[in-house]
Amino acid sequence: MKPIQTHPQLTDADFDYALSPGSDSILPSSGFADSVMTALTREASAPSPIAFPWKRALPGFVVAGAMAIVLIVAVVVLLRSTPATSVAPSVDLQAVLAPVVHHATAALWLTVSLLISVASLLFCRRLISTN
Amino acid sequence: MTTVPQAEAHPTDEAIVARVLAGDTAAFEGIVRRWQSPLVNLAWRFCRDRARAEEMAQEAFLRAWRNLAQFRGDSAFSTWLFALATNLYRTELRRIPAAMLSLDQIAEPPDPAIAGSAIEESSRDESLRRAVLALPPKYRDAILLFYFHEQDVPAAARTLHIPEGTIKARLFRGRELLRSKFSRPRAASKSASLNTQHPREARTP
Repeated sequence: MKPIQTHPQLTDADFDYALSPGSDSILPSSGFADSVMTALTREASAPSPIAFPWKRALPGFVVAGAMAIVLIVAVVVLLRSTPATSVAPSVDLQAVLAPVVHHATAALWLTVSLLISVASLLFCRRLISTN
Repeated sequence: MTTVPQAEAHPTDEAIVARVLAGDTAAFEGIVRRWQSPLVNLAWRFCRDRARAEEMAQEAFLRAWRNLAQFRGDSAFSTWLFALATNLYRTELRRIPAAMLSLDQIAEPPDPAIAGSAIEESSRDESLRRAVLALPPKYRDAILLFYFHEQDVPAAARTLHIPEGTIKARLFRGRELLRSKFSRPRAASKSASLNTQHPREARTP
């Protein structure tokens, strides 16, 4: 059976003609350069972004970090001391530890959220500095 | 009549960059006026939308101005500028594609039985340009840059920061994809005599 070939193959000349700068170009609008310079001047004259007050925030970060460490240490110590208390059969361990575990969990989440906040802040600062 | 020294009348890009870095923001206009047409046209090739092309070119100029201190003069200013603009355009296209068309959705080329007129050829050329945009990005970028730089493989390679061999391979594959789209029947034998390497690619050092 004779193959049907209705369209010829594209040749290099077809590519050259269709994609060459001469056959496929536009002229920028007459006000394009002025528009760019206006945007540039506006940006140049804009006040620089306010720097993050690291000096003021640093004590807060340090305190938060220290509290987080203390809480973690406290939880670890409490958990290690539980076998000793389990000797007394009359004490309901779960009832005693429940509030502690609850607070420890909350503290952990607080720490995680603080760390995420710091990380996102650093990321934003990096983005701003690269742009 | 006073004569203006050539260097002052047409300062080089590097001289303008030095002035801008020294605080003369207005001097950047020389860069904008000199390179506005190439940058708008490069953007036009990536999106085929005049308004968007100008927006992207404007953003490219602004980004170039912000990052001007990073231009160290290792290469020509134009190379640096085109690389920066190309990166920006590619990022923009990833964010908002130029046309939500796949290769199969591109308008079929005209039937050769009725082809031959200037209108049909123009339609075929436009279909081909749109088909280039529908290629996978790595082939699209290679073809766009190769033809934008007037078929200069080293220039396209420098702009895309990839080896010349990679550009050639992507050009080859990109053209193959376009040929398969623009030839009928699709399963027809690929001519053994089909020249898939552009003559300009072979002459590169």
